[in-house]
Parts: sequence; C-alpha cells; structure tokens
Amino acid sequence: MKINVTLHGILRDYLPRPAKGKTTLTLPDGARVAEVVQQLNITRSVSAAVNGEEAELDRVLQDDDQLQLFQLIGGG
Amino acid sequence: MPYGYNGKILHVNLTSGELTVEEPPESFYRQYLGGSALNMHYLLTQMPAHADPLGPDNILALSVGVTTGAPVSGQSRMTSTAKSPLTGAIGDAQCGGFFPAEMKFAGFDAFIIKGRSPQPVYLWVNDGQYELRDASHLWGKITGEVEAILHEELGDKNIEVAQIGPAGETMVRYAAIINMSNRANGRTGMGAVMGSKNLKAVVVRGKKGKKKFTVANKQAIIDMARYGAKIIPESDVAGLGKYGTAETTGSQQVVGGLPSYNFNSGVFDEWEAIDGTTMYDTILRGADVDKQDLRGRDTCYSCTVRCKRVVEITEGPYKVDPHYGGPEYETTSTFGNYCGVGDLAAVAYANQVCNQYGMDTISCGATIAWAMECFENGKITTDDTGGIELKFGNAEAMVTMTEMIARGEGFGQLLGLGSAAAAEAIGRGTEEYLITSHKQEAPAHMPQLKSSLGVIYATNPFGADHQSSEHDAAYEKDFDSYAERLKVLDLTQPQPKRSLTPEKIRYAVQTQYIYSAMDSVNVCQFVYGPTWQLFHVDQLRDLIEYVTGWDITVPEIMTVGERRLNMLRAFNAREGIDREQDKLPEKMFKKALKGGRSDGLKVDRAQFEAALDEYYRQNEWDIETGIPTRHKLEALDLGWVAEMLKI
Repeated sequence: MKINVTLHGILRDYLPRPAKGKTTLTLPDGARVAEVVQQLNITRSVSAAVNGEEAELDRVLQDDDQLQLFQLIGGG
Repeated sequence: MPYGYNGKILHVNLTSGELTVEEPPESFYRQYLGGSALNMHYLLTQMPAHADPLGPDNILALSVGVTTGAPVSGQSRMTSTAKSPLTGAIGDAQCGGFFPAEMKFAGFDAFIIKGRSPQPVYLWVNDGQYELRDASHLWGKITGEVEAILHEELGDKNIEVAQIGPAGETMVRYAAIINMSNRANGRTGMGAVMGSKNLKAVVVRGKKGKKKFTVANKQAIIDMARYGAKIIPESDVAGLGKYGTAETTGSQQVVGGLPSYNFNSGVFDEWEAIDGTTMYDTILRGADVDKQDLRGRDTCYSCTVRCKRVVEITEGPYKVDPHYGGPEYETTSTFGNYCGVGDLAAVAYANQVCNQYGMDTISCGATIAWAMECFENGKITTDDTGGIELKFGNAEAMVTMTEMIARGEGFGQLLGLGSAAAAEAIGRGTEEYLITSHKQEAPAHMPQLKSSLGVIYATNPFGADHQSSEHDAAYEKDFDSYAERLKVLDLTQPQPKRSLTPEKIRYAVQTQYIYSAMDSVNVCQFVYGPTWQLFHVDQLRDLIEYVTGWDITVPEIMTVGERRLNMLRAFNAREGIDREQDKLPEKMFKKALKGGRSDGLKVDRAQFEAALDEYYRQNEWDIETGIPTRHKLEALDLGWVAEMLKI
C-alpha cells in the first residue's frame, strides 16, 4: 500500500531538502505509524495525525492514508 | 567590578531630572539575581500603594541579571516591571536582543525610573556616563525612524535602543517597549507606563565596558558555549531555531490545542498557511533563493539558537520590511487562528505594525479576536466599528483594526484599552466572550487541554501567561522524554492527561519557581529550563557559578524564583487583589470546544477550584485569600514585606 507522508518542522530534515518534508512510501499491508517513523530513521519523539486526526504510533495504516508527523515537545 | 555584574543601579527621577547611582552589596545581588526579583525590591520599597499606573508615582524598573553579557547562549534578557495599566496589578515583561548585553556593558544592572518628565526625553547611558536628552524630535515617530535618527545623532551604529512607539505615547494599555525595532518587552503595557512618563527611549552603549567585562571562569563559559553549539542540532530546540516558534502550530493543531476563533475551537483548518515551515518556505528573507537559513534568521547577543524570524515581503497588499522582524507562534496564533485568518502575509504585516508602533502582539490580536466574536454575535455592529465588517476570517479587517489601534483611531481607540476594559465600556454582554485572566488576554495555549497551565493563567500575578511554568504534557503519562531531567527536580510520577492531581500541581509549582528564577537571573526560556530546553537547570546553576564565582545550588536558585513570585503576589495583595481575581474566563467553563481532537472539552469548575486550593496550599499561602503568609515570607527573607502588608 502507498502512504503519503508529510514531515513538519524539524522532522523535514530527515528527508532531502528539495522534498520539503513530503514523500510517498510503499509499505506492506498492516504497517503501523511506528514503522514509518523507523523507516525514515526519525530519532525524535513524534506525534502523528492520520487523515487530519491525531493517531497513536501503533495505529494501523490503510492504503492512500495521509500521514503527518510532528516533533513532540512537552512544553510551550 | 564584581564578576558578571556591575554593582551599580541608576536611579532616574524624571520629574526633577535628578540621576543618582546606588551601589548595592554583593548580598543584594545574590538575594535577587537581577531581573524581576530585583525590580520587585524597588517597587515594594519605593512605590506607594494604589499608585496610578499611568501617573508619576508608578516606578518603571528595567534590569538585567548577573549573567547578562556572558558570551554564551540565552543570557541577553532584560526585564521591565511596573504597575500595569492593562491589569491594574503588577506588570512584568522580558525581552531579548542585543540591548540587554549592551546595557550591562554600559555600566549598570538596572534603571529605576520614577516621576514624569515635563517634556519628551530619552535616557542616554554611555560607558558609565548618563544624561537625559530632549526627545521632542522623536515623539510621534515609529521605531525604525527613531533608531535611524539616534544612530545619526549619537554617531554610533552600535548603540542599542529600547523605546516606545506612538502606541506607547498614546498609552495603548498593552503598549510594548521595543528594541532593535523587532524585540519586545511585550506584555502588561510596560510601553504605556514609559509613555506616561514622557520617556521615549533608553539608549545604551558600552564599548569600553564590553572589553572590561569579566567572568569568574572564562574557560568554563567558552566550553559551555561550544557544548551548546555542538548539541543543538539534535536538541529539541533545533526546530525552533530553524523554523521559528511557529513550527509548533501543527503539533498544537493535531491535539486540538490551537486556540481558534477566540478560543471557541482548538483547530483551525487553514493552519498550514500560517505555520513556521510555510513561513520558512515563503516569506523568510532569502526564501526565494533558498538562503533563508543565512538571511532569514536573527539572534540575540551570543546565542547559538537563532530563533528570530526575518520576514521580507515586497509585493502585494501587505509589504513587510525585514527591519521589523517576523512573527512568533504567539503572533501567528493571535492574528491568525484566534481571528480565523489564514493569510500569512496579513499576519506578518500586523506583526510589523505592532513592532513599528510598539504593541504587544498577543493582547492586540486577542483583543481583535474578542471583538470579532462580539461582532459575529451582534453585540458590536458596523455602527461601532466605523463600517468595518469585523468578522472571523476577514484578514483586511484584522489588519485595518490593528492599524487603528496603533494610531488611536475610531474604534481602535477603544480596543486599545484591552478587551476587558473595552467590554466594560461597551456592555451589551460582551464580557461573555472575554478570554482574560487578571484582565490580560490569554496566550495561545489552552487550559482545556493543559489543565495545570490553566491554574497558572488564573493565579499568575501579572495575568494569563504561558512562560511562567512548564506546560502539562512533559509530565503526563506516555511521554517520558524528559524523565531524567525531571528526576533532578524530584518529579518522578507522571500524571494522567488533563489531570489536576496534587502531584500535577506540585509539578506546576516547582517548575514555576524555576521559570520565576529564570526571569530574575534573566535567561531565555528556550535555552534554559526543566525539560525540552537546550540546557537544563543544572547548567543554569553552572552558568551562574562560572560567571559570578558563587557556589550556588539549584535549590538556592529555585528559592529566588519563589521569592520573586511571593513579591509579585504581595504587591497585588497591597493593591487589594486576592483570590477573588484568580479566575479563568467563564467561557472556558461553560462553552465546549468545537471540532478536532478537543471537541467537547471544557474546564471542569470543581476540579479547577480544588486545584486552586492545592496550589495555594503548596505555596504556603492563605487558602481563603491566596495571600502569602507571614511564615512563608519570613522563610524567604521577606519579613519586611509581611510588615508592610500588616499580616
């Protein structure tokens, strides 16, 4: 299945600069958000949204999902 | 000169024109560390109770801290403190930039300003020399023009200018003090106090002082600065540096914590149009040639984070001159999502107006958002606004109203009083839409989600403030990124989301003491702090030791923070302000948020009131009144304050 990923803020820097944080990944059925994080070698704490709604990292993704990842900062 | 600080405080009587220098002992500096705590010493000892905030009896205290000027990140901060014309209570605001370090090099740790000058003046302090100069030719001019004139007049482009714009002159109640034409002592109307005193600017230069500036352990400071530069790319502040504080817009949106439409919703559909990455890609100077990291980021003296935005827009209706900087997250929020405006150029333009005329972007944008909600509900009409359709989402109306406030024109004059005073003047039930605590408009973090922050909004002596404690998420279960740092503070039991348990309150109180201390030693809250910041509290301790040579401890630093908080609270008590005023806006209890992840959420009143009790209890204040007890004041070496309060 194909997942459209947008990395926001500093997470964009895990992709080449011209990508501006956007990529499409091909993943096996049943893949979860955490596997995207792992595949992109993101080492920061992240929060996620799938199709605009907050999602946990163990959320199972569906074909053509829009996944957004944000750096998770605890403070203001 | 002692290590790090000058040991000199300049007292300025604007009524008589007399300037005198005080040289307090080392124990005075160790007691307060500088900044807000030091300022409060003078406000409590030298200002009469019930002074008119815009009268000559009010004292405007400007001070740096013991570490200001050391060549390491996050130290160049200056605190302004006075009775606030916005809240009628204590006012307090910090700024960064190059002014604070230059003020230290110019030879003074604080300026204590009283009285009212018969005509406009500016204070010129140059390597230990000081004088009041005529400022009639500067009156009425915007910040950039004043800076240019002063550069020419004083023959030195390296002077630093902290000034008011025309909004300070006309005493817009949330007028700011602006330096570099783009850094602000933003909140609580300190610029209006300066304007009421006919003081247009404070100008500093310390060419010789910079060379003479010495610290106790130079090599340790060099090592600390190098270490900060080394760790920043992997730190949690890397994104704030590169994409600015508005980088956080998306992470607020996804949890439903992006205050939108005057706090009626926690989500804004157009958030991507105004977030930090969009700013980086589109309007940051140099973005057109992909050089924005070099040309679109600015810094404060000796800081490696470089979080300040430099925006340039040369076409379209909203042109922005890079001299006036660019918007922070708070500003993109108040002019953006608060007002339902998804037009980044309009937001950046409103930010520019605030920096030119000298206004707090939070109170200004939030006051317009409040007026928009009143308009949407028919409580304000075009008869009031002079024909302006002040609806949510109307970018042009938002910009026009910002300009009208800045210039004191028409309906803008009323909004320049702040939303709470404007609601009182208008009536018609408009107070129902207020988002104020202690009459100050809430910044862009939501008590509906951040429950302990709500307690801080309500109780903070200078009104709703987001930089007076660590926010809830860092101490909530399922988030352990900062466990090691929090362990140092004995905070080892993360609490459920949105809880207000005694342990959550303990987290708020303990981190409030740290933030309070940081506003006294005067360091940046992105660089030092208890959780996500570049440096931890232990390194703040190291910094103070390396600069001053004092064998200081973290508990001693936190005690200074607690001392300052009690002094602020005591000031308000003297003014007759107590627990009765420690409130959250009624709409946060009554009206559920709409849309997104936070749909349906509101603040639970019973839980909140119980948390207030716990908050006062942990501070050892009187639970009925919220006033500091004699026992607590004496424990903080503030027995004299207890005497003053007759408690």
